Amino acid sequence: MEETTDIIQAIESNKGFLIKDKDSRQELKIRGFGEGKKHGLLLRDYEALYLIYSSKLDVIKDDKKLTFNDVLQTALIRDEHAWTKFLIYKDIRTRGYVAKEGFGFGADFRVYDKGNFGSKAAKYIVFAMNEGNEINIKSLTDSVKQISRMGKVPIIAVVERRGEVIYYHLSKSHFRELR
Amino acid sequence: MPNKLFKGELVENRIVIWDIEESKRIFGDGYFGKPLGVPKPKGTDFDAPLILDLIEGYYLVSEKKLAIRDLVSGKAISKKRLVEKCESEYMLFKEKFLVYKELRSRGYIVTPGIKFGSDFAVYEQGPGIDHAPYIIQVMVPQANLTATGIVLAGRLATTVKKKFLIAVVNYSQEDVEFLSFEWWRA
Repeated sequence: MEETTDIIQAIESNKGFLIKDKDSRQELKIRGFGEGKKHGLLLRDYEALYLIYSSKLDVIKDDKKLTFNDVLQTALIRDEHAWTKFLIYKDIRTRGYVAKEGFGFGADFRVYDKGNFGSKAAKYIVFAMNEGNEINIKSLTDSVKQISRMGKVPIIAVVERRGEVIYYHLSKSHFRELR
Repeated sequence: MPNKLFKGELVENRIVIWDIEESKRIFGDGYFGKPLGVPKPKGTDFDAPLILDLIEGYYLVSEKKLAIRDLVSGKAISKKRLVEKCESEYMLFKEKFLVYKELRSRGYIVTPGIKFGSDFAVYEQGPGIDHAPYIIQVMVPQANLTATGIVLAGRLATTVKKKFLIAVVNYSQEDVEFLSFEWWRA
């Protein structure tokens, strides 16, 4: 059997990176990448970066192939947290999870339990915190409550200064009456 | 007939129960205090005065179980004077006390968390009986948590196999919420 190592091609758009080819669109969509749009499959910046990094995607602009750094530059202009998002996205993907854009809890993702993408809703909301930053207790508590109300598991991803990601599961706890 | 109050004396910033019988009774009824020079007491099989910290002392005073006087002056210490002392000795005393009182009233054994680098260690049955207390850090909603703080919390909970919780205290509303942290292995 021949392994397909075809590199998928994308073009730059003002919101992300667009894939026109039908087969490629299908292949990526099944694996949890991108969002179907009228003109093709739209990849978020971190998705494109991840695929380029994994040598599965080329972004073509004016007949020229953009480098990873070109794409990163574009991403950073669009979102100052693009690098943090890429680091987390890559880490989650590498661990075998499918991650999609979150709900606005800072830099966040909704993450599907392993093997559940396409059949079940996302189980986790992973939101980022960079080493050196601080998070307000009230807003942290509010996020945890809101995510729990959505029926999802809140996970905080602490991204250390050299890019390693450490995850903590947060939850509201109660001390039941012992007497 | 009202219960006879236990007698304690304020020595610097600690409360000492000199009477050995009272010392044993207070310790035996909920693991309050620490017998002087007995780091790991087995039941009430000790023969030493009991040292209470200010939070324990103030709690027992509030529960009308303890009366405190000053060792030097010999004068009784009012509840008001005791609160002032507590506030000068503890950051966030009111918040910490609210957590302490809340957990004690639900039947938990609450001890100082200093050995775990935190505010309280909470047991269901008692230190030495259950091995995995909850470690509690008291914070106010307007405070900030650093990334280092989160990692520290997670590390503490994992390495000592305990559950780490932040008690978020909104004092004006007498509200305590507990937020737990566990390392997610992904």
